[in-house]
This record gives sequence, C-alpha cells and structure tokens, in this order.
Amino acid sequence: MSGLSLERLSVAVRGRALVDDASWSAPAGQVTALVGPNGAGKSTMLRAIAGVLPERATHAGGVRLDGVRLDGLPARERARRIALVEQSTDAVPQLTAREAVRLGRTPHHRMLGFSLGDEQHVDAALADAGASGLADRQLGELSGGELQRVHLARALAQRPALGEPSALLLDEPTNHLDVAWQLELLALVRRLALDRPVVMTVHDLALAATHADRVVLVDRGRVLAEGTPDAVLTAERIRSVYGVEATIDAAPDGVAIRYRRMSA
Amino acid sequence: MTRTVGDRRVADGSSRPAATPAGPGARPTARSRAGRAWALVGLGGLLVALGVAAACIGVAGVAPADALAAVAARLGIGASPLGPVGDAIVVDLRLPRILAAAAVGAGLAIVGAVMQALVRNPLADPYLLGVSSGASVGAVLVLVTGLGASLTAGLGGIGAAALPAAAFAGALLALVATLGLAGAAGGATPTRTVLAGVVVASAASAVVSLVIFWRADGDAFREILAWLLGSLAASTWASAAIALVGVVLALPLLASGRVLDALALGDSAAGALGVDVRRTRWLLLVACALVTGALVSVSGAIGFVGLVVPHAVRLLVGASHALLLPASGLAGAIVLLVADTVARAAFDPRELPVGIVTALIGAPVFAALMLTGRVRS
Repeated sequence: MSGLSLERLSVAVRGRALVDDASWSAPAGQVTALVGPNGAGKSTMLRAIAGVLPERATHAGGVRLDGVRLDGLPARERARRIALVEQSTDAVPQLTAREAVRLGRTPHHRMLGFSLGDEQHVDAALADAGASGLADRQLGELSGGELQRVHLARALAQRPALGEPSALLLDEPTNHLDVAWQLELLALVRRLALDRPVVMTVHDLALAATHADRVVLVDRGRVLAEGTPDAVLTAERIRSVYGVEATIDAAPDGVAIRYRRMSA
Repeated sequence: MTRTVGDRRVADGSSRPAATPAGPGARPTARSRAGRAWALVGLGGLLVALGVAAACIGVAGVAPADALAAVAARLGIGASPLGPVGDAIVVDLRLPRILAAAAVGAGLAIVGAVMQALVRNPLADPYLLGVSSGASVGAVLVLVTGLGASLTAGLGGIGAAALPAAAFAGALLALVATLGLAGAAGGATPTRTVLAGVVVASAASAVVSLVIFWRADGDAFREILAWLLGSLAASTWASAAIALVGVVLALPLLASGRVLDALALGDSAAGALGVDVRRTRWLLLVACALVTGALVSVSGAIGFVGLVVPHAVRLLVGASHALLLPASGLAGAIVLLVADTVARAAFDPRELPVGIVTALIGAPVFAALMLTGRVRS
C-alpha cells in the first residue's frame, strides 16, 4: 500500500508506556490528523516514525512506508524518506532562510561530503513552501508564520530526488499562528499532500475535522478510533476522551465545535 | 469544501503584507556567498601583513624587506641583510613566537566556535570541558617540583618537553573525567556536558590552588602565574611546532560545518535529518579537547580568544559554520598575534603575559557585543 503505517507500535521510557500497541495508517494523497489530549502520545508517535525517540526509550512493533519497514534503514536513508517538523525547533537567528533550508540536504551528505545539485533542491523546496521570497532574509527577522514555512521548506528539501517526495510529519504546525497564517499553512499542507502522506498533530478538533481527510484519535498511547472526521469525532468520543460536552455543527465551509464543561 | 480554503493567498505566502514588514532589525542581509568568501581572503591577507609587521616590531627595529630577506636566507634563498644578532632575533626569537601566536589563536577560535555549536551555548569556549584546568594541574606540578629543570639538566631538549607533556596529560585526564561524568549521568547532552565540565574544572582548580598554596614560592610562583594567565614568551621552534600540530588537528573540524549547522536546530531535529547526534557530538568534543590540550600545553590557558572571536566573526560572515569556522581561525590568529605583539613590545622592557592583554581587550569587546544584542546562542 502506498503510504505510511504504524504496526503495533509500543514505546516506553523507564517502563512507562507512552505508546501502547498502536496501529494506524496514513495513505499518500491525504492529510491525516492525529488528535488526542495532552500526553496522549501523539508527538511520541511522530518521533518514533522519524526515528528520533529519546535515548532511554525502548520500542517494539514497526513503521512501514510504501510497504518498506523503516526500522532496519540507516538513519540517513530514513531521513530521506521521512521529514519531521517539530513544534519547538531552535532557529539560529543569524542563519538565512536559504541556509536553513540547505540543512534539509544533510541526509544526502557524508560527514565530509559535498554534493552538487543541492541548490536546485533548495530552490525547489523554497518554491514549494511558498518561501522563495524569504530566501535571503535572516531567520531572526521572520514572523512565526514565515518561520514555519522555512521549516517546511527544509523538510521538503530532504526528499530523495526531485519529483520524489518524502512523507511529511508535522507536530502542531498551526501552533502560535494567527488565523490567517493558519489557513495559509493548511492550504499549503493540502497541496503538499497531493503526492505524499502528510500526518499532523492538532489540538483544535474543529480544525482537524475541517482540514483533514482522516483523523486518528489517540488517548494514553492507544488508538481509540481511526477514519473520516465525522466518523471519528463524535460527541460521545469527545466526552469520554476529553471529559467535556461537545456540540458539533457541520457548515458549508467546515466544522464548528462548541464545548462546555460537563455538569456533575 | 475544505480544498478551497486560503487558495487565493497561498501562491506566495511570503508576500502577505501585514505579516512581513521589513522590521526594525532588518539589515541588508543579502550579502552574497561570494562576498562572504572574500572576507576569508581579506582576513588571510591581513594575517600575513600583520605577521610581517610583528617580525619588525620590538626593541630591535627591522625593516619589513630585511625581515623577509632574513627568513628567505634561512630557507637558503639569497643572503641575509641583517647581522648574526639581527638574524637570530628575527628568525629564532620572533618568527617561532609569531607562528605560535597565530597557531594558538587560530586553534582556540575554531574550537571555541565548534564548542558553542556543540553545546548550543554562547558562553562556551575551548576550556569548557575542564581541559585547561586539567592542563594547569600537570603544568603546575612540573613547575613546583622543579621536575622540568632537573630533567632539562639531565636530558637536555627532551627534558624541556616535560612541561607541555605534563600539561597535555592533565588535559587528557580532564577530558576523560568530563566525558565520563556526562556519560555516566546519561549521555553527553549539551547541559550535562557543561555541568560536568564545571565540576571537573572546579576540582582541578582546587588542586592547582592547593599545590601553589602548599609549595610555591618566589620564582616558581611567578612562573606558575605566567602559565596560568597564558603566555607565549617561552615560544621556541619546538613549541611553535606543537601549536602548528594542534592547528593541523583542528583542520578536520573545519569540515564539520554542515553537521554543526544541523545540530544547532536541536538534537531531535538533527536526528530527523539523519545525523547520529550522540556519536557526532562525542567525536567532535574529543577532537576539540585534543586540539585545546595541544595548544594549552605550549601557551597556557589564554582566555577570551575562543569565546569572543567566534561571536565577532558571526557579524562578518554570518552564522553558517562552513564559513564561520575558517573565518574564525583566521581572525583568532590575527587577534592573538596582535595581542602578543602588544604584550611583548608595548611595555618594554617588561613583558606582560598575553592572557592579560586578551582579557583587557576581550572583556570590553564582549560587553559591546552584548550591549548591541549581537551575542546569541
């Protein structure tokens, strides 16, 4: 199958399970939203897919991309197929956007190596992320939304070859963005998902319901439901997972959800 | 329905007017890579010119052409216009000291830039791993016991190597202690590395103080103080050679620029780019400590060069390490060469330990960089 899948993945740190026997899939061409309360294991799942679990973490089960098991791959090979944009990426303020995006080519280099054609990839990635105009600006001068685009462009530059996209994992991509930038970013994510699997974690359930093709609901490391937004995000599930009452309204331009505290 | 959201503006999000003002801090940052590379050529030219100037400056003034001719004559090209005394001053006294100063300065600045990236801390310098404190223990032990002098009396030139050898051994022990402590605590993450370095440095400093307090008097005390402050006064062709070896060891570090840029994103982000973070950091820390150990063994712990030069050079060539590392090396060589020339010539007939000069220059420069908001992690 073309796409990304978790197969009975478990992750534990010092005996405490962060992810517990989780399986889900994210087909290419679709945006998959990973939702669940704080501490549900969403970010840990993304890190497990990218192969950057903390040092003390142990894991079982596996991850497949287009049918290929990722666990056995060398780190650099894996980094060409899967790109992760984390919530808190340090940005060196004096680096230009172009220099930052060039770092996306790291998995294609040996330690002392050097390869031609990088600039072509960097230009293409900047263009795909709508960040060509930012190329010569320093990161310290960029707004949050612009910076997020540069991080996205860096992830796009990791791809194995031009026209051969890598899977994209986005941890809370809309965090700290105002509504206009949120919509722009989501539209960009939508375009990028045309030919690759995109998985993003989101806290805003209405945003997930409106902008994702598939939703995976996780709680305490386990997968509770997986499928289309309206099948997964029901008032009953929101009540049992988050402990709040929810009213879900479908509107022509998306989904609106209102919440109330549960009456005792 | 969802597909149409925001489609109009996404063509080029960067042009969204309200969110992309140039901002008060916007500087013309579109300096081309070629322009920045020219900075390397400029620094290199300046270093050579200052090197020639330093060979001419001192109690015995020499014209630049004569100094160059004297060096050429020693290499077997032409005849020296200087007498045997002038010849000896330029070629046997000043030249090795100039080379040692340039090599130590270059090495310290490169290692400082690498360390700042490895531990993601703008305060990092080459001595972060406790290397200089460990070297001080070795050196002070030799100076206090008079071991170097007695060995020199017995063995000649080999005995003179006792001091740098003991200093280097002390540096290695400190490195092993620091990385061992960080590793035992769960791995050499930036924070653990810094903390372990502080612990080892404090312990080594305590040993140095104890030894001085217990045993040192008169001449030994003066010698120890000069060593602790950092000085190139004792430079010979042998110490210049050790310092140059240190710089040669530092050359592979120059190629780590891309990896250092990736590490600056954070350990996890670097890992997601396929970098083996633990192995890379460990290798580079060991390389840095070896280079620092070699440099410290000939010059003592000269402060501020490894801390301030990388910050200043970032203003010149940007933060990307591919250029920052070689530019820091050249700038560090220039700074220490100038400082050492001032140290030996400005207060004639007395000579200052160069560490005092670098601190006197470095502290206000660092303060200025801080006040203008240019010191960033």
